Amino acid sequence: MRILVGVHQFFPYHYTGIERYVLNICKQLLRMGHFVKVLTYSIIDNTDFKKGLRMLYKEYVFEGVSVIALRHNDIPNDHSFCFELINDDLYNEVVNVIRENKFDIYHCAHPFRISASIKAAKDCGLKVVFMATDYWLMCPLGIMLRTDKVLCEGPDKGQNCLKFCFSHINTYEIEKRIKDSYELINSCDCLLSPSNFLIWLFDSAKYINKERFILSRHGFDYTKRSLNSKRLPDKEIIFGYIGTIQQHKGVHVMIEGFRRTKHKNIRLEVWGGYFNENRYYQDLIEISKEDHRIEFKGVYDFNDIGKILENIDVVIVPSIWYENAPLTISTSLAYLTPVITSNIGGMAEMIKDGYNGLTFKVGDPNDLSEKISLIADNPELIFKFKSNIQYPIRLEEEAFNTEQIYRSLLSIEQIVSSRFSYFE
Amino acid sequence: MNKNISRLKLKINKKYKEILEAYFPTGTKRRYFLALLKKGFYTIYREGLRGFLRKAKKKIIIKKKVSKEALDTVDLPSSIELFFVPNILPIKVSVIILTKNAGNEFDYILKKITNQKGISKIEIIIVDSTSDDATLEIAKRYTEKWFIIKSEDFHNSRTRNFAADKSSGDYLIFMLQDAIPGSNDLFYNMLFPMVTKDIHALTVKKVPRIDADLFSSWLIWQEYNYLDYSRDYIRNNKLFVDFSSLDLKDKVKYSFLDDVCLAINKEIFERHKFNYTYCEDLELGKRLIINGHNLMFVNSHAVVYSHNNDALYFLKRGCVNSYFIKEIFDCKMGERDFLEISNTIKVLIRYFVFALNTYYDIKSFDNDAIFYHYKYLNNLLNVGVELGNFNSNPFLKEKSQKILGFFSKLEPVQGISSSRYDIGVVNRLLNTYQDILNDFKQYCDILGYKKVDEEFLDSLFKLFCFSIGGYLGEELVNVDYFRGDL
Repeated sequence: MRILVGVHQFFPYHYTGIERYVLNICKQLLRMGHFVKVLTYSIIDNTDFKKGLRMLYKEYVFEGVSVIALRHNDIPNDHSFCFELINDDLYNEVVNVIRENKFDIYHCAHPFRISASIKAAKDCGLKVVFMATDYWLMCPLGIMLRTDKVLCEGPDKGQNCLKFCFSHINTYEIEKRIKDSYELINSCDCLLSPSNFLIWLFDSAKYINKERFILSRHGFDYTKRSLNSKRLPDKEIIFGYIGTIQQHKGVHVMIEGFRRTKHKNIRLEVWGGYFNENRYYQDLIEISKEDHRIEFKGVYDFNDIGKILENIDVVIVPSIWYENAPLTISTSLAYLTPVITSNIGGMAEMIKDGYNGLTFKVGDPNDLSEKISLIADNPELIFKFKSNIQYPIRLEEEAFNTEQIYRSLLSIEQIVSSRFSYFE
Repeated sequence: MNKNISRLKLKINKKYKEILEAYFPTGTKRRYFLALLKKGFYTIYREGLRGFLRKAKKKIIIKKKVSKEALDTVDLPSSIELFFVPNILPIKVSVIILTKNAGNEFDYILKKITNQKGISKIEIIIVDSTSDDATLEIAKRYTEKWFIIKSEDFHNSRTRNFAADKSSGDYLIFMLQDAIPGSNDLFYNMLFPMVTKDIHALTVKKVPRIDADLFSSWLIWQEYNYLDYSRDYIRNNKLFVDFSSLDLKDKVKYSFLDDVCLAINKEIFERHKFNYTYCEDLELGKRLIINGHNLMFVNSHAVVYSHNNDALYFLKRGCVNSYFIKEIFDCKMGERDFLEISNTIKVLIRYFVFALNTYYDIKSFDNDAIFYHYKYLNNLLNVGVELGNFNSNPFLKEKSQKILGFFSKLEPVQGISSSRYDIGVVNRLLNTYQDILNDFKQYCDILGYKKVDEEFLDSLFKLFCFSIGGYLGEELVNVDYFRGDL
């Protein structure tokens, strides 16, 4: 099969969970004998681009995976990307890419900046698989968190967007976005979601019927894993945060919760970079500087995650938005490290309170503090949680399931038809 | 102008699709015949009327040869249903694993086996060939049925038969120690057709691990490509009139069973058992199909399995496989002694490593560049260039020395006795290599692989050694030299 995988940004300049998901699935599909390329938008890199049909165009290889990066001559601002879902230039450029490479399948992992590629792929007769990695098609901010930091319950035909986040935008723009995004997602041949929560949210917001979704959990790359050899928390219990330090990730809630826990036998390691949120990061450093139990360890290399987790007894994931399927939780579970996390979204789906970890009331430092105290007073709970952890599925398993979905979409009859496509 | 044409094309295409859907809806017979008609015209357009008639004739013959009964597919749960918890099969399954230093992932694998859904009882039987690591300790956490044997007592068939004797399940699943179930309902999906339909033995597709190198991935791909196994496939003796009159490829295709992950009805296993030193799975498959049993290959479910072994391993593997396949399927066996041709092979390996220098300074390749080294190798041998000492890629040098060292150990006189070689051996070996290289090129083309790097060169070297192995297996009177460590 010839597969194009679309994502709004990609390595080497961007390396969050979604990019890693795309990289891993592409690597495995290549090993399984398929022709695979990544389609992405280059927002930072501007070197060695050639003139394409309507946009600038560059091909490069990252860790064995071929990447086609597109960018406009003048990059539109994020507002345009969020509200103009069918960008003509991108549409035509992607049609060109599909024609040149004769793809069979378009797998969209995130539509931000490249949403027009879904329409282009459909118009070229490709089967489109959409993996809903977050809520961007329903929420222009992507995280269903209002600007007043209250969790959003859905767009309500755009009324909530206008009221809480985009009061400066006219109704027509919001309504058009909702209409376009609704059409885009409904035009896809197969919808995948890594969590039941996301399916429920799209269904309850009347965006798309839950029956159309297939639950497809993200797989984990076990090949580099060395198991947490630390059997007993010795003198102190080490809690850890691993991820980007941004406000919606709730790092402030965790620091506050930790400071309110007065136990002497605990320590907190905070791993990760802060991207553009320097101010937020400085504020966190400021509030934690008097607590010597808290240590900011800086940016980490994902390849070193095993070593980092070897020294951590419990991982904290304090996000204040409905995380969908956080890589930090699946990584921790793969390394048999228990997790304390917020009691919402995909997080609560992965951690069952009191079974393989603990959950606390989202955004509530007092509740988090109680959970930390519970573990500090009863370190044996860590072993109980460890023994209950179920390993996340393997990456190879996820890729194989995805391949089966592609196969079921591409019947022999359709492959024959696609050869007679007008573009040939 | 071009843009307008492009837009117009899009519009026409869209309209065409709308009309197509309206009058020939997807999934209907009408649509199927339309596609068939299109395919016919397409073949005539590309290959002319003769090509079309040839293909049509072939298709009709295949349909006639294969009875409807044999092709009757089993109602397997579709891939979509993979994500739902299946019903429970009221059977007991014995999973048999032979171990020797099973490594880091063994605990993960046993946990994955224990967590299989949809089977009412699973027992694990482990026979360990005196591991030095924690294999046995891990095994004891998951089963009471563990046994230790001496390494030298290990035998591919006898040890598996011993484990089967200790089992109490209705069905047996033989797995390798590093084969990972591809899902939590793999066993259910394997045993469903065995319990509900008349399938007696079944094997599932292998999927390479994410850390598999180019060669290992190709090896799995080419196996299924060669056998034309791109879908779930049931075989029985209704597919042929006389097994012995089939060609070797068809014999292998129909007999194919793979004990990387193989399920079999226990009652039937007890009647047949494994009884071959190597390729014991294939030999069992041959007896089963000849005796009227139904075998199945499952493409829609998988087990994760691959090895990044070194070139010497693949040389030995290629040699032993081709030798025993010939023996199992009663082909004419080779008559040569290894020592007669060992010098030629060693000289050829040196020439091959030299020829790989063609790629010095090339970073990527296009079209036929994958054959550069092959053409260069042919020229070198035709001209008869004396190599003397040459500089090769250091990592290839190390790899080739390991193989040359292995060959030297087998000979009474050590080292390469001269640079003379048997041209007959060289020609046949190069023909074998060319076939495999063509296959490898096809794989690289599918992947769009164009990089000349260490992985690529390493893959070519392994391909060459694999070809040597295959050639030796066909030519030699016995392969005792190559059986160790497999």
